[in-house]
Amino acid sequence: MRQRIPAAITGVGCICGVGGTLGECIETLFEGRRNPLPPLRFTSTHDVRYPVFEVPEAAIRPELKNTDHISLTSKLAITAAYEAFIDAGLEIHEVKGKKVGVCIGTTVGSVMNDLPFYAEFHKGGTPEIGAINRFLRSNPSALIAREFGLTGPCQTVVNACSSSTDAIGIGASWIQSGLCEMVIAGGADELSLVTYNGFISMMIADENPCKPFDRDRKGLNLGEGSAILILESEHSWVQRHKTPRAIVLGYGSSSDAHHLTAPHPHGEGLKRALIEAMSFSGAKLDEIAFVNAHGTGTPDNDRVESKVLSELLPGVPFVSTKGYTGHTLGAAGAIEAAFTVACLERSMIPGNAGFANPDPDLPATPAKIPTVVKGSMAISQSLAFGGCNGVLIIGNRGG
Amino acid sequence: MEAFVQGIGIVGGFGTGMEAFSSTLATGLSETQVVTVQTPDGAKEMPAFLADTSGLEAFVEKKTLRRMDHYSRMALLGAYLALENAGILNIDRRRLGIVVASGYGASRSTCAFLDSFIDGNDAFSSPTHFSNSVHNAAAANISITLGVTGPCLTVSQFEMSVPSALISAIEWLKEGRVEKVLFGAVDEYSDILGYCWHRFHGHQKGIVVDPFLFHEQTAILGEGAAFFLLSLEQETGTSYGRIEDVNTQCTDGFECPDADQTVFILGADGNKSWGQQYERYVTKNIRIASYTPLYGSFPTNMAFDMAAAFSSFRIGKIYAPAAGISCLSSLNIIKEEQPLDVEKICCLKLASKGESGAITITHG
Repeated sequence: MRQRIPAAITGVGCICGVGGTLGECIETLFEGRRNPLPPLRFTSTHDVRYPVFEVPEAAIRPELKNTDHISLTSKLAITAAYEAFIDAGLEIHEVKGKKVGVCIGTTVGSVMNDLPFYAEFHKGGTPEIGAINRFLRSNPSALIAREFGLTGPCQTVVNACSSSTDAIGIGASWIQSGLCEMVIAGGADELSLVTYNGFISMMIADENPCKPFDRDRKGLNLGEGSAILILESEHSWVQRHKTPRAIVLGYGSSSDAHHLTAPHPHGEGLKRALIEAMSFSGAKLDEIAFVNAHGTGTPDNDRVESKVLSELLPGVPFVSTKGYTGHTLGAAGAIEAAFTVACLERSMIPGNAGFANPDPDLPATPAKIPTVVKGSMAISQSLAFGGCNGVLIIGNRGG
Repeated sequence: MEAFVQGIGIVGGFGTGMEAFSSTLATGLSETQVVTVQTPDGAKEMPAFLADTSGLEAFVEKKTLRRMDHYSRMALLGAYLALENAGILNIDRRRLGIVVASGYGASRSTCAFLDSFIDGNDAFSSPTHFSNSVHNAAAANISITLGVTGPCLTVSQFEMSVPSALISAIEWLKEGRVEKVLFGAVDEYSDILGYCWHRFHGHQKGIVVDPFLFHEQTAILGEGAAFFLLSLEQETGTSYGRIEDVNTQCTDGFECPDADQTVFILGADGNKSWGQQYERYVTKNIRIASYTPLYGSFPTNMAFDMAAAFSSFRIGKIYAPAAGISCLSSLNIIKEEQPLDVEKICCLKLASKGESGAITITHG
């Protein structure tokens, strides 16, 4: 197995319910503010108005507002991508026509489920095809490739909630293998009534602001957003005289082979993914500063993660940031990887929003308040429907 | 970039398994079924190549399949057939990865989920349909049923799903992340796709796909799954051949591989909106074939082109085109079965907005 994936992170962009840029998001996280509300863009007939973390339209790039030629998922991805380009000091002409890869994770962004269109069809009508054209134009990675004129490989990962953790890991492997000098990697997803109903139907949505790892946790709140990372080979960033913000050192991925929607009760898949990522990165336990956990706030997920973290990474501080962002599904892994980069730079993690009372059944509990951390590496991990587990090990710029 | 193919599992409108597929390629004949499509002019019948997954019961108990939808069943059958074809049903599943390409995912389950609440009561939303509607449900069902604990990836890139996903499958092998990969492609027919198809293309006029008439709409809808067991090393006596190169991009700038010593299997499938893309690259210097008339049009049918290429290497011949298609004199079309006198076959798929995918295959 190869050691170390030398894919540098030279630019980061992020948009989600806590901010329109990575800087805004981090500021909000460390202030401990969150504001989940019932959805504003759609209505539902549920008796309870489950809270969500929506992105205000004002946060989206101006030229993308008030248009419906592409999906909201893609608008979020492009908004984050431009921020990442600026952060990386990249001009579009520097990448146009070059073999730059794009690897983006999503869930909603790849499903043909436009509700007004389908409702008319369902009633025996013959809806106009505009919604389908929008869907066909909105493949997130293809759209980013076209927006910036990129000619490298293009991949939209649809691994449910681990999609963008996997997308970043795959993008890093493209750098390592020499397939690309640069990869635009990350994830994007939008809120919709479809996923809102889906998670409520599974009885894993909380009627109140979610409480990851708390004794009284009842489930997740949905969110939306995007985060994009610019991954570069050493040759590329040295040539550009750009100092990386961080390095993707390792990526692990495994399957539970257990259940379509529930994690393995002992977290066997997550353990394998963690061990694989540690092995690829060459990381030692005392080098790990913290873990950005998946931490959805569902009883099963948090139990499994707590157990695995206590077994494999005893004493390592961890936090779930979903209490601030909600569960952004295919975007979650990328948003959390972006937060991981920023927290490594600060050597500090925010408090775990919603965590108040330790659960006696959980062997490890998250940071309750902003906490100083020590170590040159951090872990961001995701678990997903289908039993997918994805783990990234991110190192500070010194590796 | 290279990987060896140890086994192929395939199910589509022509039947189930490589024997049925190779036989169909040899005869050039494949029968369609009829689907009824909702249109502005009322219900209309259209031909379609539909897959039958009853063969799955040879591998899996019926109760295991009870809650599994058609999309996952096709994929699972393809996966089992690939392992059986490789002669290693009892493969070590800890070091096996799964990579699935799908253009539209679980379209029927997605619609079934929408049906459960769209009449007005969100509380009726079906958790079963929701969990089956995610794109990675097929890969997950393969993982669960076969007990595969290696990494699992699903890629959705419309017509470029196959080359895009294949890049990652081969990277996993090269990284040493896995010893083998079950790489596959799956797409299903659904009523909503039939409706969209009709809105885009109008009523189906003929019953034969004519892939080289690039300016005419002759496509017939299809569905199916094709899986390949990949490894980095050739295992004596079992390999179909080698994937030598995979290239894909989403923007203009594709460079056609060297035409010397290569036959091109075109992914042209009777869709005129993409058919015209082929005219830019396909010249008289390039020897071309296409077998889409035997399995139809769906985003991931490039995996079937790959299976046709490997089948050609196995028998040492390049197949004749499907019966009834137009062999234009302006193109260098392989008109009859002939010995395979080239080292490479390139499966070439072109789509809208300059999208391109090229998978080059050699004998091994």
